[in-house]
Amino acid sequence: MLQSDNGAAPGIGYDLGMEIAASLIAFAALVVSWFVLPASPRQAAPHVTGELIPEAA
Amino acid sequence: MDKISAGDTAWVLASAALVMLMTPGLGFFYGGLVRRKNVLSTVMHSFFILCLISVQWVLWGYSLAFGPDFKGWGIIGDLSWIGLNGVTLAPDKDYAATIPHQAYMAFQMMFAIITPALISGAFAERKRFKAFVLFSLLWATFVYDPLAHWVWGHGGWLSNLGALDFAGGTVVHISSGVSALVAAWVLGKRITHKPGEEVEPHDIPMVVLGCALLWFGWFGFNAGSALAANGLATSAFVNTNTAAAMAALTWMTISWMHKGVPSVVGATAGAVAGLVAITPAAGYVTPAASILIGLVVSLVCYGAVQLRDRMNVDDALDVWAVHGVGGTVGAICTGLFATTVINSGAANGLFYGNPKQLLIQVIAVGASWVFSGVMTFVILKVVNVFVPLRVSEKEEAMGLDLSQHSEIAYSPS
Repeated sequence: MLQSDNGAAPGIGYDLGMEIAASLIAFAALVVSWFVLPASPRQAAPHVTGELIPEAA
Repeated sequence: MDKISAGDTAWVLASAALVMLMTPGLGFFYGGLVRRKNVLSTVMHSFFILCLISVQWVLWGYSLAFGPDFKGWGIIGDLSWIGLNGVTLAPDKDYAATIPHQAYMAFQMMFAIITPALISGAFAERKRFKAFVLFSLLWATFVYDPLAHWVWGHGGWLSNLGALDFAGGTVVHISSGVSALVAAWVLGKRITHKPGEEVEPHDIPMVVLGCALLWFGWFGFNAGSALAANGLATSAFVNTNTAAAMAALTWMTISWMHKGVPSVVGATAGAVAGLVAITPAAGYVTPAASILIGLVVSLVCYGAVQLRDRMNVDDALDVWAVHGVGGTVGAICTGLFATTVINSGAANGLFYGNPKQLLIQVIAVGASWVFSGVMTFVILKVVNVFVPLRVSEKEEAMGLDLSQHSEIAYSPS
């Protein structure tokens, strides 16, 4: 019967500490990336270059 | 009569109001993303559904979704609560023992309203208003109401199986997202849409405003689903904000890497994806897990947007990529991260030593995908027999604001 048994299977050593560590690493990676990523656009969108968008014409 | 809690009742009623606000908020979010000649049509989709389903829910929707199970099949409620007959101010112990039954009904009504409204983003800029009205009424009755009964109804088969869905990852987001993909495919592409071509949003501040209203309302959506003013509601509140924030940061970063700029629209899309993913998990996981869910959903949904771009389907506002895929990610993550430390009345997930829960979540996800997709296809075909689904090419080129409503959003003077 497919009923949840809340942990009868062997645990995998996972706990809250691992979750917190992983989330800290993820956040740190994002913050670091913001200082590494380029400051100017690689390709400008039409409204940046001043080209008229057909709908705006 | 059971003792009614003033605190619980106040919180659930306030949450119902918060969720109600999400529907016009969605109208702004979608409205800003379309071209200016279609903004009124897009906003009207949301506003009209708010009115339509408010009445449908009272008349028969609530009875089908949450009424006594028909013949014990676990598929649909019966009609014994038609017109809210028997839905009194006394609590219903099967659903919420400390608030009036009508408060529970009102709260659930707001979910029933926003779900079909979400689909409208897929067929924006080309669906005939009459067809939209008929489709929405049939979809709410034959897709949303049964699915809500399966997952949340007393005796629903997915509820009996033990599927965990705190506030609607399957019922709301997977159903609307998959239905959106089917609707976009059946309706066909916009006449001006070419693969790989992006249509510029006409009002990005409106998009951000809409996103903010959605985020604000989502506190009622998730934290209100605790159905009590208690610790679990607080937990869901914290998880909701955390996942949305992390997902927005992640999406913005990915778009920065991919396109060289941190996109404002991308940040709002990420926030919504995070809110979608945390919806089924909000009352079962830790705040740290919410951060990870926010990270993962943005990675996956951003990829889904790129995939949709390559598909021959014009899901105009990426409803499938954000809601369908995001809801799937959230439901699966619930099966991974759920812990009885947060919610002792629920179950542990895989990471806490219970792999069966993940399998149950996969079954719930699969059932939602198949049921929503097939039923939406059938409903669209039925509607098309009576009313053409699409406007004409001339009407589409003119814009739906003029062709369907004879109104323009912005006066030229």
